[in-house]
Amino acid sequence: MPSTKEIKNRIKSVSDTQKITNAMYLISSTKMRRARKEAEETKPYFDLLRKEIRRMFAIEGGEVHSRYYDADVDENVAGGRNGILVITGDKGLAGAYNQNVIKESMELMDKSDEYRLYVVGDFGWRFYRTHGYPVCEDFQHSMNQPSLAMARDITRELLDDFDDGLFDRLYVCYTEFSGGLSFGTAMHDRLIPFDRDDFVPEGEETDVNASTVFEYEPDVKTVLERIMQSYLVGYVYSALVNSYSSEQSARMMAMDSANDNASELLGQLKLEFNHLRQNAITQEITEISSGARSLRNKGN
Amino acid sequence: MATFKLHFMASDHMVYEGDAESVSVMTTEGSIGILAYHSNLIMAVVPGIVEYVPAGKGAEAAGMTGKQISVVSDGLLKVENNDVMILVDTAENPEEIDEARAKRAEEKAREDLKRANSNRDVALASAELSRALSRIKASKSKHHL
Repeated sequence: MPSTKEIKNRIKSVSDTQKITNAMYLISSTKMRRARKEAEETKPYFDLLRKEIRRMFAIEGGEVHSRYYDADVDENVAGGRNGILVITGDKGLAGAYNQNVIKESMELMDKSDEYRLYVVGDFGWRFYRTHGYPVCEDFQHSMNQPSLAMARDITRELLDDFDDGLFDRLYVCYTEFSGGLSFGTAMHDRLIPFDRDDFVPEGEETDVNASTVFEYEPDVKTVLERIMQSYLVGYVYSALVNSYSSEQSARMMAMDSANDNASELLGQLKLEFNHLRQNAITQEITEISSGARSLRNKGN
Repeated sequence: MATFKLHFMASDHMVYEGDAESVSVMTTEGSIGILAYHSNLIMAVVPGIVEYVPAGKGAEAAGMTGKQISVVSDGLLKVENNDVMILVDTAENPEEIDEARAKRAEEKAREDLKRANSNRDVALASAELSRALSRIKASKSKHHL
């Protein structure tokens, strides 16, 4: 049976921990809100960009060929030399968030004949290194807070390696944010080469006026290649923001349940503490009264 | 003077939306000037300067008179039926450039600081951070003068 002092200490340490988990919950919710807000602001730009690319494909698509987009690549066959960009968090304590996206990347690695691993976020970085996976050493980005500048740096580094012929296809493993308090869904998308069909979704073609004739200077291919890079930045950025939001949301959930557990534990401990105190009092009274009785008996 | 609609948008904010008399943009083919009723055109924008002359009541109300200058990075220029759209990754007013650069330096320094391994790294990164912060402060106070 623990002493009242021991229980008191435990109550204190549990409620201190609860303060921390509660604070982490609040921090995560603020961080998430801020990231979503910044991402909202860039949405109109990338929507317009996507629309223009779609229009160019709709009008000139048949004659355009480039290494950035290729209609012949089958999505389901992932063999070959792949570049894999994995987006993890900086820290743990976020439920299965990091594990899920790492598992997703492992599946992709198994399918590849050869791969190069680009890792964003310290957690994933440490994980792959300690488990002996070949990580690109000079590709270092922390998941502190996703920004457009960061997405731009990442895209530039990846495109440099792509241009140097280090890989033929580029995949990104990230966590799609599903809103509210939930773990996102870990998934992978192919970034390069683009699937032309991505830009011609069904039912959306009505807003593209294909009858307008444009002059392209110097030619469609040059213009497309240039804006494709901007589009890639947008894609990477949205993957970053989605992952970041999922991470914060996962952490909120983890902290929420930690809070609940702490409350439950505190309840039990307090009950136990009161029992003990009550027992001690009862025992003391019994001792005093029996002592008094024996004194009285002696007097007689 | 005849005007056209100009939508000038950077990835994180709208630079200008409204009527304009002229705009000049750097493209892969060199600098190009656009007036009203230009033929339909799509070109790639390269880093450089965009100059535009706003017109109409909206521009006057916003205190935009005469030529406006913006420094842009890569992007897209589209002219469609007297409607000009400029989409660029980044656009900054000349006086904002120092601040934007300093902000990026700050972000970078904070990231370096987080993953610094040795005392030396920490010292270097925090020096870089304080430099960036004082640059931001200086450029902010410049605006208020």
